[in-house]
Amino acid sequence: MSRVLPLRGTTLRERSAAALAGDGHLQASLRGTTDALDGRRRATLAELEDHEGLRRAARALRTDAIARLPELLAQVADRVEAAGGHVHFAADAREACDQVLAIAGRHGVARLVKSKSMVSEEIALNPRLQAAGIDVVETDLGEWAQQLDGEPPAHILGPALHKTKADWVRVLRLEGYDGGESAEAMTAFARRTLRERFLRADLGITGVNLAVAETGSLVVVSNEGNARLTAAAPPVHVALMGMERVAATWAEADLLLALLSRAGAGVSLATYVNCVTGPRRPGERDGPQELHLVVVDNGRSRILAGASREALNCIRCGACLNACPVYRQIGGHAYGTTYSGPIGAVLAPLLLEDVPEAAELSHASSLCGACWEACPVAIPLHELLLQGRAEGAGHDHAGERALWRAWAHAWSRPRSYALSGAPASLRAPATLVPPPFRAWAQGRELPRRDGPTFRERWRRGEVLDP
Amino acid sequence: MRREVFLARLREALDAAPPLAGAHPPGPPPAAVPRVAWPADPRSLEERFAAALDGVRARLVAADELPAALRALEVRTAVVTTDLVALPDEIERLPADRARAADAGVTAARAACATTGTLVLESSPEQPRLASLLPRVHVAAVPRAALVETAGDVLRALGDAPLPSALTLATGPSRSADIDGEVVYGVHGPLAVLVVLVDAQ
Repeated sequence: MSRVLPLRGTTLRERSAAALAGDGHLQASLRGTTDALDGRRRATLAELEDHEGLRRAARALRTDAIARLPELLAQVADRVEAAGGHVHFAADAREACDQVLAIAGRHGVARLVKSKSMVSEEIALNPRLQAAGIDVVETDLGEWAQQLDGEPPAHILGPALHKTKADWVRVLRLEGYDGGESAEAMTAFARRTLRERFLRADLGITGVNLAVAETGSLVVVSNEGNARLTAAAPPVHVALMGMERVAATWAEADLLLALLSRAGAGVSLATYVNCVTGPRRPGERDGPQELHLVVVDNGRSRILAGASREALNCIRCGACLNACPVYRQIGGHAYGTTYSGPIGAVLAPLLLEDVPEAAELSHASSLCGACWEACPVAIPLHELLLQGRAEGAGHDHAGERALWRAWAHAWSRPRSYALSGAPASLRAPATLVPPPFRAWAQGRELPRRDGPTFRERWRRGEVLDP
Repeated sequence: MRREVFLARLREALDAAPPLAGAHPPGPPPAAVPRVAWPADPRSLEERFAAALDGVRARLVAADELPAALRALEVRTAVVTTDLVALPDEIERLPADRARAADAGVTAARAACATTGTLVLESSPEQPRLASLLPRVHVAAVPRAALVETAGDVLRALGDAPLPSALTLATGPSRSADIDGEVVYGVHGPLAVLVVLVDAQ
């Protein structure tokens, strides 16, 4: 097993090295699961007419919604309250946790179930709840395994997709599982074990995929049914939402849900799309007596004020992770942040402004653009990564710029290109690279030429058709 | 933080925002949100619904096939929240609040979508949420007249009338691919879903 290093006090290079140092089982696991998800995404998108057009429309609609965020959030809050719910606004992680703790305190909550919420990871809610003596159980299968294993989630959608079946058996044993490596047996065990937790919980916490301003409905998507149960069984439901997750209308929600289901899990529609409008009504036998929506900023308004605000268009499907050649090698933990992959590499430096280690994450990319191609709302992630690098560099390095220009100039002309030794496959040993560039040159290699150069073949007349 | 203060901060952020980064900015929002469309399919709505249910591991059964289907799934007890389908006498009916002890939950669906095999479930005093969620078998009665093409037909109309406290689009039995990417059915919700089309409204 590879080690999970914390973000603080480590570099991306160290964390990647830790991820790559294992026996290759992390990479094999990542390859298998990300390939499967990426393949299903392509297949389910292809069954639609003009999915490129849908993607373009989704991008324009998300951009418009973000530009109208104050108005739409006010509408969401009004409608949620009109339906009998309570709305809380949290400026940062601490305030969001305080609000959830206050709700739990008012109800004397001892046991709590959660369905997967990345925002709750972002604000580090679980440690706060546990410190208050509350028993917290994650109910998404993958998230539960991560909780039992003492690891953060490694993927936005499949928190444990780096785990092999042997890992799963090891982790479930902690809860008394005594079966083998059958996914069905392990799932049945999880169903039995977690069922009791759901039914005894005093409070349920879910995330929110979309809040629909038109009716004040909170849409929570899940395939396992845990989000439905979390929002149905306990007497209090707390929904945590990043402030950007707002759709103006149900028509917009329809388009986004179709794209989210395909890009995320590779299905035409997620198994359960649960639309919650207020708490239980008079006469109903189940459902929460109280509904609380906590709207979290935690650095998002800073993103809103910047050139990278299109990152707020993200609907957290995880497709860019599955497509990213860097993520597919190093996995989610090497990023060291709640959100990993290309979207994480864009968000983390912006969200974690006070953590200097986060700034270099925009370099965890080859800028190939596979993330942008996979994104269901067409966020130009590769361009935002470049923007992040520019912002991270801070000041203008005139010397560095001159050097790149000189190199570009040299390699654009035959004579100086030949002189550089590149066509002859000559390369300077790493020890001869001057210090400021040594770190940059590490891990980068000029491609090795196979056979004669183009110019040699041209001279011999091998290039033209006979 | 008070709502007004929170929203005022966002307005300030937007007012200060520079142009978007990137060489190809998004266009203006379309006048109408485009519909998610499938290529035309000559089969009838019911045929497509049956095929889509198959595709998500649910099943369309005729009313007279239901007893055999329930026997095959070893259903002995059920919570029943609708009289749109008749259950065989040998199945014991449990009160609505005992869904956790029942083998099956029999509920009505307000509508269903043919292209994806989706059931539209609503909470109400008669239709508790847990009846379609806790039992390992969910039997849904769908009025034939409430069969529509896509989820969009349902979702796009949700703004027009008051909504129930919980409305769920359920597509097939609960599933997970969390364990090594292998798809497994019956996680926290039902493990089998049987759908019966009925003529009554």
